[in-house]
Amino acid sequence: MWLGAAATAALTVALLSVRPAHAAIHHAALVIQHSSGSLITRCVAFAEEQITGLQLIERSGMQWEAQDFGSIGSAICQLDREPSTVPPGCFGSGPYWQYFHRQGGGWQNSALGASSSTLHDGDMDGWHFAAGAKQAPSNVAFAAVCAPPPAPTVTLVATATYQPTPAHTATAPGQTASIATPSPGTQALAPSVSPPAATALAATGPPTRPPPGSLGPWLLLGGAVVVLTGLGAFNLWRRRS
Amino acid sequence: MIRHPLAWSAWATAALAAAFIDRNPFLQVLLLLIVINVSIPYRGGRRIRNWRIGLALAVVPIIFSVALSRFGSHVLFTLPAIPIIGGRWTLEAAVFGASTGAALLLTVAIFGVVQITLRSAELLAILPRPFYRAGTTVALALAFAPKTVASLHSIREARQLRGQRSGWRSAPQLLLPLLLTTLEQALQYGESLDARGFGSRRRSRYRPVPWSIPDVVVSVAALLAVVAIVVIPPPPYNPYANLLPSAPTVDNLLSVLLLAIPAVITSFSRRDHATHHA
Amino acid sequence: MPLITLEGVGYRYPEADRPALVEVSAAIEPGQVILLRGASGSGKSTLLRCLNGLVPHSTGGEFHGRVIVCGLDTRRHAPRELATHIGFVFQHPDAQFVLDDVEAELAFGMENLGLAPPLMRKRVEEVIDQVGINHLRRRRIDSLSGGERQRVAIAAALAVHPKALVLDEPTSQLDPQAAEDVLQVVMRLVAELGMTTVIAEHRVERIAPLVDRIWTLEAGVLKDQSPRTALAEGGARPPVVDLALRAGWTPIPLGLREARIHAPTLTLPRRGREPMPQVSTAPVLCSVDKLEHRYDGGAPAVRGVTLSVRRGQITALMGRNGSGKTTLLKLIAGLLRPQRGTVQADTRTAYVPQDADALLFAATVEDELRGQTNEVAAPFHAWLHRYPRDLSSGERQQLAIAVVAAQADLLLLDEPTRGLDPVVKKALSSFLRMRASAGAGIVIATHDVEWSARTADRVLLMAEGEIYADGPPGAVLSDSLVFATQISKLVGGGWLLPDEVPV
Repeated sequence: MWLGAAATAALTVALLSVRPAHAAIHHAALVIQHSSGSLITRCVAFAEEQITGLQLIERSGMQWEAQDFGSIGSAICQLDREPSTVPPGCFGSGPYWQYFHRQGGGWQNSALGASSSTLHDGDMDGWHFAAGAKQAPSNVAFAAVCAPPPAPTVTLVATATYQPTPAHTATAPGQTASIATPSPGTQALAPSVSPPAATALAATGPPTRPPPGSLGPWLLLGGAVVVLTGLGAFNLWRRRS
Repeated sequence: MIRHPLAWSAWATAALAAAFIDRNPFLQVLLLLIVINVSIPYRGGRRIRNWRIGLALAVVPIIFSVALSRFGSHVLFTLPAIPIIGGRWTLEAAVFGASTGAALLLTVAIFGVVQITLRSAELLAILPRPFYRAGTTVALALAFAPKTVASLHSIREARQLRGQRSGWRSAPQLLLPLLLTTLEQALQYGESLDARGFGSRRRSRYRPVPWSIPDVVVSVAALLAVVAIVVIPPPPYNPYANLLPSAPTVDNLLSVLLLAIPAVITSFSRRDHATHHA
Repeated sequence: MPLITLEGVGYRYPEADRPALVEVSAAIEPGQVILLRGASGSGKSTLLRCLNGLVPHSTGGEFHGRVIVCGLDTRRHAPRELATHIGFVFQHPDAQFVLDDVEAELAFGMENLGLAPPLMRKRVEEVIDQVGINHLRRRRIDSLSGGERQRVAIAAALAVHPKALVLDEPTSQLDPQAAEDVLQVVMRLVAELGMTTVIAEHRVERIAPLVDRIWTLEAGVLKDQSPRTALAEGGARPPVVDLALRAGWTPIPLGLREARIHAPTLTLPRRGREPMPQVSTAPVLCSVDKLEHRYDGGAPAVRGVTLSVRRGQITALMGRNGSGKTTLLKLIAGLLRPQRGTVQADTRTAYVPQDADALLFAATVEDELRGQTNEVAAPFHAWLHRYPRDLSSGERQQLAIAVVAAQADLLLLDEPTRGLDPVVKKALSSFLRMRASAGAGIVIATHDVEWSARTADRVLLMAEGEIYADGPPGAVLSDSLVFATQISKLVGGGWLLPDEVPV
C-alpha cells in the first residue's frame, strides 16, 4: 500500500513539471449595430482554440452588461451603453440586442447565449439592437474587420477617448474587469485593436483549458485508468480464490 | 481497514460532490472506476443486484435529452412534425443526456458503497442532537431497501394469486401497494424509535468506533478532495458548445484520484473485510 | 400507590366511525401481572399504546380522560420521555428493530438515555443473562428466528430498567415452541424481578395461572376482574376451564397444574384408536409424488413428500418454523416448480398466503370484492365501504380468503389462524367445514394445536422437509409432547378436546 502511494506521488510530481506548449494566435470579429444604425466593428485576437461570444465582447473593449439566466447562460442586456438604462428583467418590451453568427455570406440567428456560443479562428459575431425578430445587422465581411495577415498588436487610429470602466454585472471567472470603454457614438473605424485589449490579452486570458499540446494530464489519466483496472482485477481474483 | 462511519460519510460526500460537479466525461469515467474499485473489497463477491436500475438511470436521461432538445449541429436524424418531440435529434443532445446519466449512475453507485460500508447503528450513534431526525431518515432509507424488496416480492406473489397480470406492464400497479407497505413499515419504525426514547436527550455511545490510521487518511483525503473540487472546479462540459470534451487538468484529476485512497488501502491490507461488513 | 392509572380514558382514531376505547378506568399496582384479552379490533393494542404515550402522541385522534404513568400524565409527556418507565414489545418480530446487530439493539435504549458506557456494558451483560440470549449476542438481527427476535426485543426493553413491561401479543407470530420460550422469559422476569407486566395475548393457556388480574375489552369497554371470574364468564380461556365448567369443578382451575387436582374425579375410558375415516371413496383432488425442492442451492426445503388430498377432507399441516410447510403448499399450488417429483392437481387451486396484507390494496372492501358472486360478497355486506387495511386481522383474513379462494376446489391456507381471537377462529373453522362439505379439499398450515384438533380430519407433522406423521388428530396429536392439546396433557388417553371428555 505504501509502495502504491509512493509510486503515485512520484508520477504526480513528474507530471506537474510538464509545461504547456505555446500556441498560435487566432482572430474573431465582432460587429455591433445600434438602433440608430451606427455600426461598430472590432477584431479580437486570442490564443485559445476557441472563445465564447461573451469573451469576444469583453476582449473587444466594448462596454457591456449581461444577466445570468442559469443553465441557459448569460444574455447581453446592454452593449456600448445602449439602452441607456437596463430594464429589470434584462429585456424590455421594445428593441433588444439580437445575436447573430456569420454563416456563409450572411447572418444566422444564434441558438445559444453569448456565454455558451463559441468562436473559432475566422468566426464573426453580430449584435443588433432592434425590435421584432431576425433583424440582422448590416452585411460586413470578415476581412473588412480583421484584415489579413493578423498581427497581435496593431497601431490604432483612434478618435475616441478612453475612460475607465464601471464594474460589470457579470464577469466570467478569472477575467479582468478593467477594460477601457470607447465613448458611445463612435463611428465604425478601420480595423482596429484597442491597445488595452491587446495588453489584456497577454496578461489575462486565463487558460481555462490547457492547450492541447500538453501530455501531462493525459498521462496521469491513462495511468490512473490502468492502475485502477489492475487493482480491480486483482481484488476480484483475490475474492474468488 | 476503514471502519469509522464518519470516514465513509466523508468519502461519500466528497464522491457525491465530484459526481455532481465534474461533468467532464473523462473525470466521470475515472470516478466510476474508482467507486467500483472501492466497493469490490467490501462486497464479498455478492453480485450487484441493482445494475439494471443503474443502467436505466444512465440511459433514460439520454432519451429525454435527444427527444426534447433541438439544439446541436450534428443531427442524428429528423423526426416529422410531432408535438414536443418532433424535429432534429442531435448528437449534442445525446451526449448532454449521457453526461447527466453518468452523474446519476455515479450517485447510485456511491450509495451502493455506502450501504455496504456504513452501518445504520453507527450512523445513529455518532449524530449530534440537531441531526437526529435527518440521521433517522438516512438510517431508515438504508434499512428499508431490503425490506422494500421483500415487500415487492410478496406483493407480486399476491397479485399472481388473484390472477392479476404480472410482468413489465403491471409494474405501475405495484407502486401503490409498495408505497402503502413502506409507509406502514416506516410508521412502525417511528413508533419503535419513540417507544425506545430516541431523541429525548443527548445520546451516549455504547461502543464508540475507534479512529484508525486508515480512517484518518481517508477522511483527510476526502476533505482535500471536496475543497479541491469546489475551489478548482473543472471546466464545465457543454456538449452544445463544444462536442469534444477538453482534457482535464492535473488538479482536477488529482482531486478525483484522492477518492481512490480507500481502494488502495484495502487492496493492500491483509484482512478480509467483506465478512465483517456482510 | 398504583404505578399506572387510567381515568375515564376514551379514544377515537382520526376519521373512525366508532371510538376505540370507551370510559376505561383501571389501576395497576407495582408487581402486578395483567392479562389483556379481547377480540381483534376490540382495542387491545390501543389500550396498550396508551400506557407509553403512543396514543395519542403518535396516532393523533381524540383523547379523553387521562393516563398517569409513574406520576407522569401521558397527555403532557411524549412517548420518548415515558420510555424510561415503560418497556414496550411489539407484535411483529421484524418491524420493531432499529439497528442491525443484537448488542447494538440492546444498548440502543440506554444510549438514548445518555447512560455512561460502563453502566451500559454492565446492564447489557445482565440482561443477556436474565433473558438467556448469550449465544445470540454477536448475531445480526435479520439472521434470527422469530422467537429469538422477540426475546431480544424483551431484553432490549428490559435494559433501561423500566418500571413496567408492556407486551402486545408477543407470541402471535410464533410457532408453539418459540411462543413457549418467550413466555418462559416473561414468567421468569415476573418471578425473579417482580416485574410489573401487562400482556395482551390470545394464547391464554400458558399465562393464565400467573396473572393477578384479567382485563377484558369488548368494543372498547373494559372489565377488570380476578382471573377466575373473568375466565368463568367467557372470552379466550384455557381448555381446562371449559372442561371445569362442564364438570362443575370449583374453584375454577386456571391452568394445567390446578386442573390436575380435579382430574382424578373423571372416570375416563381409554379412548380407542379412531378408525381411519372412510374417505377412500372420495375423489382425489391433488396428489404429489416424491416432491423435492430446494431454494438457491441451500438444503432441500421439501424432501421426498408423497401425499394426496381428497375432496371433503380438511388436512392440518404442522411443524416448526422452517420445516417446509409454506414451500410444500406453494408447490401444490403451482407457485413453485419442484426440482424433482410431480404435482398433479387438475382442479382450481387457491393459495392464501400468510400475509393477508399483501393482498388487500383496494380503496374499499367493495372494490376488493369486485367480480365475485353475490354469495361470496354477502358476509362482508356490513363492511363494504370500509378501507380493507383498517379492518382487524380476523376480518382481513376472511376477506383474503374470499378474494382468493372463493371459487376454488383445493384450498391451501398458510397460517390463517395467526393472531386471531377464539371467536374468529371458530368462525373460520365453521367456514372451512362448510366448504369441505361442499366438496372442497383443504390443506392448512398452522401452529394452533387446539384449533387443528377441532377442525382437521387429518394431521400431518413435518420437519426438515419431510412428513413424519400422518393420521387423524386423535392418533397424531395424542402421542406428541409438543403438538399436544391441553386436555391431552391433562388426561391423556387419546382425549383432545374439552367438549368430548365425558364428565
